[in-house]
Formats: sequence, C-alpha cells, structure tokens
Amino acid sequence: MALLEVDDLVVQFYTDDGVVRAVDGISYEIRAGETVGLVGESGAGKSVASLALLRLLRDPGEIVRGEIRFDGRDLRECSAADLREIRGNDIAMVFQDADAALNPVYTVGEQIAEAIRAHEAVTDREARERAIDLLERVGIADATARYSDYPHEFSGGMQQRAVIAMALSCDPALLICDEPTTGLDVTVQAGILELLADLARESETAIQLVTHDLGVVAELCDRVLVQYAGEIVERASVGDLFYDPKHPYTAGLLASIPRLGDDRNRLATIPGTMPSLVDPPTGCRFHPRCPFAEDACARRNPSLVEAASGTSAVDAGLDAHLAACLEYTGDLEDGLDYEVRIRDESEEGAADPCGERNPESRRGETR
Amino acid sequence: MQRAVRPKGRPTGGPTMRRIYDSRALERTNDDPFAPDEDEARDGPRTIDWAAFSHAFMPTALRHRALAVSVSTDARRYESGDPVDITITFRNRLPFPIRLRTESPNRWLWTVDGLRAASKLPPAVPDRPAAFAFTRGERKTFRRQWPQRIQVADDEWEPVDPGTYTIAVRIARADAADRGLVDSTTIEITD
Repeated sequence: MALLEVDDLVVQFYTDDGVVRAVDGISYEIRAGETVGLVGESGAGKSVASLALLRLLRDPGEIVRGEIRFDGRDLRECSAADLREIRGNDIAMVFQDADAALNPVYTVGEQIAEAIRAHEAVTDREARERAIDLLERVGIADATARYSDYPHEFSGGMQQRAVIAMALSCDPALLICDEPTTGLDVTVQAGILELLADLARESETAIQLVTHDLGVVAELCDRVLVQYAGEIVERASVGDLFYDPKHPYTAGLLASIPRLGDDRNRLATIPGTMPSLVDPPTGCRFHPRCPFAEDACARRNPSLVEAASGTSAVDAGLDAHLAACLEYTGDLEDGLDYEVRIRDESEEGAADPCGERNPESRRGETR
Repeated sequence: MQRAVRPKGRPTGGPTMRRIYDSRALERTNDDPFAPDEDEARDGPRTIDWAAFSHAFMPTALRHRALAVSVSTDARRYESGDPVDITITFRNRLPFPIRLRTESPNRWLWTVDGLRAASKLPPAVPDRPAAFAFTRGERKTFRRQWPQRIQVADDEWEPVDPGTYTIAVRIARADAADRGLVDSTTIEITD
C-alpha cells in the first residue's frame, strides 16, 4: 500500500468571475521513502493540490470531491484535532517563502523547539537540544549561537534551511516541499537540493516536491507528475520523462530549458499562456497551444492512459508511463511528430540524466 | 497568556499617554503576537462598515432594481467554428454598496439556448447560498469565449449546427427573471 493515495481530487474556488477549478480530478500515489515531483507552469494548480492534502486551503477554496488517504487514513474525514496531530508529525510542509513562514518576533530556534514541544512530551531543555541538532543537521554553522537569532538575522538560504529543520523536527513520513528553492540564488539552491536529497536518503522520508524547475526534478525525484491547467497530463519515472516524454506539453517544457553551448538564437517556448481555469478550453486543455492539435483535440478530453498500451491509468501499474493525449487512445490521425535528441552520448552522461547528458526535445513539422 | 505592557492602576503621563493606554493598543498575547486582542475584536473597527449598513437598511426590492445585468457579443453573425466572445456586465446603479443573495456560490451563470455554460452536464457546484456584493456604483465585467461547441459528456463536446442561438446571463436565483436580473442576446451562426 502506498503511503499517500490521492484519488480523483477536485478543488474549486468560488469567485465573482465564476468557479475556478484549480485541481480537476487528479490521482496519484507516493510510496514510503520515494521522492515525487509535481511540475508545471505557474497557475497549473500544483500548490493548491499540495495545500489540499493538509486541508490548508483558504476560503473561498474547497475540496469538492476525491479522497486523500495517508497511511490508510482518509484525511478528509479527520477532525481538526486529528489533522493538527498529523500536520508536522506525519506530514510536514516546507513553504515557498521561508521569510513569510517564520514568525519575525520569535527566535528561529524557539520556533523549531515549539514544533517539537507541540507534538512530543519533552522538556524545554530537550526541545532546545533537539532544535540545535536539527539546525546543525541542515547545515547551519554555529547552531548553538544561531538558536537565539531572529529570522531577519538569517540569510534567505539559512531561513529556508531553518524551515526545513522545522519540518523535519518530528521526523515526518512525508515532506511536502512547495517550490523550496524559488527566489534563492543558484548556489544556495544547489545546497538546499543537496540537503533534501541527503535527508530523503538518510531518513527514508517521502517527498512531494512541487516545482516548475525541471532541473530540480532531474536532481531529486524518482517519479514525476506533470500538471497542466489542473489536470495531470503525464506521469513517469524521471528517466522516462527526460528521455522519452510522451505528452507534447512535457516535450515543450523540456525544449524550453536553456542550456550552455546551445546554438539556437532564441530560446524555444511553448506558444500562448496557461488557460483561465474559469473558462478552460473544450476538449484537451492543451490543444490551443499544441503544435500537433487536430479537430478531435477540441472535442475530446483525453484520459490518462499507459502510453505504450493504451491501458487506463486505473489498471496500469504504479510505475507505468502514463500520458493524457489522444495519440495514445488512437484518436490522433497524424500523430505526434517530435524527436528527443541526446546531445552527449558518453557513458558517464548516460548514467546521470541531470549531468552533462541533458536530453533535448525538438519539435518537428506538424501535420 | 497575556502580557500587559500597560502599568497597573491609573495611567499617568498626560492625556496623550492615557489615550494610548486606554486604547489597549500595547497589549499582545504571547500565543499570537500580531493578532488583535479579543477586546478589539469585540468592539469592532472604529469606522462604519457601509456595506453592512447599506445591506441592513436598504429594502430588498431596491437592491434588485439597483443591479443592471447585460450580455453582449463581439458580433451578431459568425462563421461556423468561429469563437464567440461574450462580455457580461453587472452594474450597481446606486451610490450605495449592495449585496444580493444568490442560491449558489457560482453567483451568476451564462447559458446558450438554456444550457448552462453551454453544457448538458449538471452543475458541479454545491447547492448553498452565497452573496454577490458591489461597492457603490461598481461595474463588474467578465468575459467568456464560446467555441460553438456543447459539452455532452464529461470528456466530450459536439459542435453546433448553423442557426440562431440565444446567449443569456442571469444571477443565480430562481426569481432572477421576475426581478429583472437577466439579459440575453441572439447570434446567428452561418455555414
């Protein structure tokens, strides 16, 4: 049984403009100790899907349908007290903006110790010692002295490390990281990613990593879910996704990664913008931006199926490569016409998808 | 636990300091240092909530008459398959805030020949009341694009035939038509 099972989750926001269906029937599982990336452009519903797991949605957002089972328990049925017990203890969250996540009038160490005291019967001294240990574990130098510093005395990277320390304070089984490296410079970003990778390896903590950065995904994740306009359009292992993307949107995302030594004059982009979720396009939601779209794409919304066999996602295994495109249900007349070109075929590169051997996806002529 | 910065007993230090102490603005709770104190929450803000004031004193019939509903399209005739751009406008005619009760959190809806949002599927919105609020003289404009297709199943849409179609908008109330909270326009789709 998977640690986390999300089944047909629908989240809606009610605005004057209409109903915003930010998450539309997504289903996925995360196994214990596994790192799963949730990627997509801004506005795809990634953060809303993550907040919904812990029922942290703010009004006017609400879960309309679906099940969220963690370790066999249905989180939608849990009382507020039960949820408070689960939050931090079993499932912890690292928010995007560490500066906003930390309380400016309490010391960083005290905030970590408070999280420990809230969930475990420990003395103040024990909580303090554990908080200092955690600060050391996440790479804060001179943790004992830093325990008494206020958040404004920490740099952005240190604040993010402190938030990760707080999330790890009760040794959660699942860590939800919502764009943990956004807004940090690349060297700090690399440090945070290394830290998360070490933690996942050492403590067997499962991680749901929300990001729009495919480089981060390549670095950290075992499996990847690609979300577009509230729906999951592709699910694959990280290797399959980078070397054999099945959905045109994923191919477009991969093609738009800038690379050193690239001889193209302009960076490839996916034309158009994410559709409004108040009034999404009919049929496949990606069809207005898809270079391979046909008439059928505007009339039918493809379901998520195993790309190789067309088996529905429900019947496919957890590791099956799934994609939601009419190509895989046999309804696309001219098919998808793009190729993935591997730039460096050296043996070292082959072993490391995030190293020198970055794949490149190129679109061919359509139709 | 509450930490009071104010000295116990009658404050000293002149009328200015007394006003500050009397306001109890310096009190904070240790649990949530930035939350307003309970006393402040109980007393409410010092300014008048004109929206609530207006809602309390304005007759219901006047509220309905105050709201102008209109729908328009970017053309009257369309080639088959061309998207129809729809503009929906709600305007509060009064110089006071108004708030209308609706029967759904989806405060208003648009239809094509009576089909909500050009769909034959039942609405996926919980059935509970909500409110549609406007500040004084406020105009709210929303846009939709109808690609000349009707949703017939969860994952399937069908193109419509050439002909005349009525695009309407109404506030989500059963009595919307009786109270003038509706508008409609007609378009023609040609081959």
